[in-house]
Amino acid sequence: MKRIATWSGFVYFAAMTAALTFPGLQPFNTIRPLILGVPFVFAWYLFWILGSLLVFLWLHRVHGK
Amino acid sequence: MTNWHVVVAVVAGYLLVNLLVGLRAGVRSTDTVAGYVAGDRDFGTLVMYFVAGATMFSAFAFLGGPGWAFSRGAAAFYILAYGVLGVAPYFAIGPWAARLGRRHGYVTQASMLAHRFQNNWVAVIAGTISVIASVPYVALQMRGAGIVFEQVTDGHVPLPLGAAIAYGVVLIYVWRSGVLGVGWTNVFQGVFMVTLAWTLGLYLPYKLYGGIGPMFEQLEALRPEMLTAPGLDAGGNPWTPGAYSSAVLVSAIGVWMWPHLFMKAFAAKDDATIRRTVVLYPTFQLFLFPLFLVGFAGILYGSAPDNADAIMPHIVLTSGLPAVVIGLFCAGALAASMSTGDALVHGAASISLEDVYSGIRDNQLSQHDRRTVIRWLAIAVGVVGYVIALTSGRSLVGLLLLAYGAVVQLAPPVYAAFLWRRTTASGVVAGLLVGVAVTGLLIVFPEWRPYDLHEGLIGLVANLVTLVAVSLATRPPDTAHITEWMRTSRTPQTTSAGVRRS
Repeated sequence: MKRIATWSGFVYFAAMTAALTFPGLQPFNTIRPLILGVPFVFAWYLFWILGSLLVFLWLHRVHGK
Repeated sequence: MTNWHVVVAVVAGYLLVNLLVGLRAGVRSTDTVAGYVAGDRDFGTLVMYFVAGATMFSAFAFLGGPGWAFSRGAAAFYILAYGVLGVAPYFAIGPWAARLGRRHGYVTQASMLAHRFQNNWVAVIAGTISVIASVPYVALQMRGAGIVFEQVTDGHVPLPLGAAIAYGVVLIYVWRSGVLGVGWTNVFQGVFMVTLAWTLGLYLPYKLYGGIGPMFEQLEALRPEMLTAPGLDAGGNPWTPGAYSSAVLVSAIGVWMWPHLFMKAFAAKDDATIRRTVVLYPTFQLFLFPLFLVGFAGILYGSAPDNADAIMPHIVLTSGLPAVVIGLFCAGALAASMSTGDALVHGAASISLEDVYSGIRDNQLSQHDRRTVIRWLAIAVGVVGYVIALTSGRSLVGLLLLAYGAVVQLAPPVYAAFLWRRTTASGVVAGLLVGVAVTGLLIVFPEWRPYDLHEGLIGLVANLVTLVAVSLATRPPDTAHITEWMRTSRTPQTTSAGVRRS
């Protein structure tokens, strides 16, 4: 389980790096639709930060045992 | 009482609480270097969380974040990207370093590297890079504090006096309490700056434009180029994807290499404390969201300050807010400055003695004397930073760029120490020197950078290639030492009571 969690974390942060830099960011680099009033690309960054919180929680749960 | 008197009274109250918290924190510290530099390795999750968050986000983020959103639009998103990416490796490396610190008594990252590579020059070079990088950063924090004081008091408290007052308080509690003073004041300062950021960031768009959505709809109609990445460069022209992306990468790789952040692993109570700090870190990172809202609000605001970084104080001062709120804002900005500046002063002083001096000369000082010397060095770092803050002006930003490019170069030796057994001291030293030299050269000749890439990233690649090539070309390190070192880093330890510390 620890190995799966570690690799999942690695894959998530590798995907996050690609999604928040060019050229991976380009498809999501739009103003519309506004998400709770915020431009889509701005919300895209917040989405990945919130996702990292969940990934860290899972990693901690697995590695803390 | 006039407005500026009220502001000064609120700020004086804030500074007094800081001083009391900082002085009180050091009461239970032992009279040892580990007590002064690593808080007797007893930091819990609360302190570690605020140390991580408040130390990383300085006056540069509190004032510069809105400044970037205001003047460069979506270019500011790069700051959102790198924080979490930067802290992720610390989930593994933090506990590894902490275990080694408990076993071998490290209090700094350079001393850890010197022992791993069995070479004092590694500590001297890594320590020198750290100290040289830290001083302009301290100066920048001082300058930020002085500017805020000057602006919100209409010049009644000039920049030199404001910086001296704020950092006078910092030096008193760093002197008395060491890292415990830094840690507990960071808790207070962190709560303060986060509360202020969220309150102002959510309130100002509603007060000025009727809400966050209406504000961005107006921006979309008038300045759509500000709302998509990579935004604008410092000259107001479109920023390049290469510069934007490499800024994210170099910051993510480099941010936890700052010694004042990395060495907090040696202060943590146990492995779980470090992991919990990393888990909770994204919640702190989100405070950039309201700060950026203030910056975006500034784009549509009727007037503009001379300097983009002053957009937040400009709006706060001119939008009819009560003097008490202005005072609280000033205290929040000072909190952002002081929470980073104190860790930098303390870190640079500790490294100067423990790594640079002790690497060159055999250090025979007692624990008490070493602690005293570090205190005096903290004062010296503060004084040098203050002089630079008052005399450097605009060149400070250039100096800071060089500093960041230099600190990033610590990443290859740190990762290689944990992950590649074949790394040699010669490889590390050669890599560091080449990396710093390439970065410095590209700062002087920016037109040589391919695809507008960040100079630190190119220096990092040169560093890594050199480290690998020279390591392979030199005699392999002592296998027994490396095996023991690696095993210690990967093995959760037990306390004297038999409790596993992970």
